[in-house]
Amino acid sequence: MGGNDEICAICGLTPAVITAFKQDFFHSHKKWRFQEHEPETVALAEPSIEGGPPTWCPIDVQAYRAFHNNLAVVGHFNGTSSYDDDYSKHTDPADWPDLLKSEAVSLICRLEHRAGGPLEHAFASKKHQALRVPGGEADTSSLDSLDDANERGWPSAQGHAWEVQFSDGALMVHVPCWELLQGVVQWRTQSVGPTPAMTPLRYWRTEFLAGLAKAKERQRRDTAGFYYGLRARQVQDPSPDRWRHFDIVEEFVKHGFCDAFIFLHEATAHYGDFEPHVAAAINDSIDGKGIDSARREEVWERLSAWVWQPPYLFEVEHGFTCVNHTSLPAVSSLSFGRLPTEILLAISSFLDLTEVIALAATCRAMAWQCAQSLDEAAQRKMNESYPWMLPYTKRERDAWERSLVQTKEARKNSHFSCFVYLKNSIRTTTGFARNRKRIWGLAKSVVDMSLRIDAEGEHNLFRE
Amino acid sequence: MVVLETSDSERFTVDKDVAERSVLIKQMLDDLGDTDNPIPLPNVTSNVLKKVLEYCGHHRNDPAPPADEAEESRKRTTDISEWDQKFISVDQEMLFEIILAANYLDIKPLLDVGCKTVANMIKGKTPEEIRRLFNIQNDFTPEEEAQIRKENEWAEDR
Repeated sequence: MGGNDEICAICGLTPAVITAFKQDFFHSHKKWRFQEHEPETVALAEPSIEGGPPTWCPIDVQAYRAFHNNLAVVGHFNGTSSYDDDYSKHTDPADWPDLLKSEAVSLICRLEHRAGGPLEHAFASKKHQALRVPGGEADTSSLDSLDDANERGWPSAQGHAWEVQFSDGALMVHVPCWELLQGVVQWRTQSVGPTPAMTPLRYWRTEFLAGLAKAKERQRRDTAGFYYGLRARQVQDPSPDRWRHFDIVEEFVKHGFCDAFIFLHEATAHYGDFEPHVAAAINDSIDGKGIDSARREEVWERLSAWVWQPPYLFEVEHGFTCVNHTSLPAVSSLSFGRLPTEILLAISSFLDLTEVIALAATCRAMAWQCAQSLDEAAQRKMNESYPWMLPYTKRERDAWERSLVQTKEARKNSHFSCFVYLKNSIRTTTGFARNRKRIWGLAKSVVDMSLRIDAEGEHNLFRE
Repeated sequence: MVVLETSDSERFTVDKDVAERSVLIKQMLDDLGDTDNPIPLPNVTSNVLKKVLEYCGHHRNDPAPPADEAEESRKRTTDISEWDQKFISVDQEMLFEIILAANYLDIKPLLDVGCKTVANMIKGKTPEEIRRLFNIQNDFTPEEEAQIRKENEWAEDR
């Protein structure tokens, strides 16, 4: 299964343990079976190769359905009518202008599985649960409109509620990964210069061109130094439907990321005592809750597998300790010490984080007064050097605020929340920080590639 | 002309455009209209106001800073003009007084010059060097100091 596994085209991880369309896919392949045996539980099974009993993995059905709302498809969609095109046929560059300027390229979120039916209907979405974001240059909704849609309710968003059908050239992405891609654009606009919005069309065009060209540029390198190569892949048999897959080329990366859930699943058979951990990890992951760091570590140590972690969970370690600032001590420096906090804040705005830390370490009064400065310096530091640590979309900002509030409560109204968050994220080599940094790096590769196509022209991709 | 009265009751008569480098004074003049009455500045002493007016006089024709200049100038901490550097070469107490006055009178460019100067004094120094610079008494216990040092190791060389 691993080699044929559809993955998020941005982060390289499988979008779900078993996604809706796979139910059809596996059914047609007679390899996997899907069984509902209680109202609130779903069991997935892989028949034993040796003919023994299948291995069943129960999954909470509510969480399973909720996870589908975190998936999206970017591709050509044509309203309610079937659209059957094979983009791999379009090898003649003369065909591209029409393809690449199509107004029909869209991002479709909130998918819901419609059981049964032919494969091309697997992505049919109910009217009240689908949002189609137009991808045309002239009529492209920004991510903010997605945020608004969340607030107002999806059915009314942009007036776009579509029954959609799946096209051959579509790419599947996690919505949180898509949001992080938008975050890269926002960050780049603020720190480097104007950057074109990553519309569904622009994204699809970038991936399509690079994939069609089998360009080396399709290889992505994340900030941790891992290379990712995505390539188009066609499944020929037995399904008559054309089905485009994206497969991670490098075996190491593939086994580290793409097959994480497969490892987890298999682990239930190989590590009996590990099963509760695995089941909980899967459920937490598809539920979008994130996975407990201890369990993540255990999965990593025992299976060398990473589990998909929603990148919008801003984890802050509450166990951090520092000097107690609960009482304001006497001012120990007549001149510098009597500067009000707002002045100290203004001075600190010209200092690097390490310099603010040095200032705060001079005496108790400075430590107390520099609390807010440390937070602001930490935020500047993140913006300059660790942009993936900051929130960008509404969902991320909400999660960020919740995390800061929790930290402040845990630290009894201390101002150290951003500082602690940065510190925790830098010191942590696993979990949230690593995951978000990795996805950020990959999303940035997509943006860079799209800019390169803009600058050099799409034909240059085919030179190699 | 505008008359300004300091906390030690000294009066300064200055051109209106010089006085209006201060957002606070400009707003007061806008509210009061034309008046011969002195404008009281209870938080500023005469020797400090003298320095502030020197700065405002020199920069009287400067254009209003663009909205995003604050962020840009933050990246150029040492970017202080030669005249401003010479102007701000005062003892620490006067430096802090100027900063406080600039903050009170709402003269952002002068506040930035003062804060940048202090920031440049701090840059690259260890906590102990900063203590010596500003005569700060270290009231941490040795254990607390060791704990702080250990907890902040992560930020070094970043």
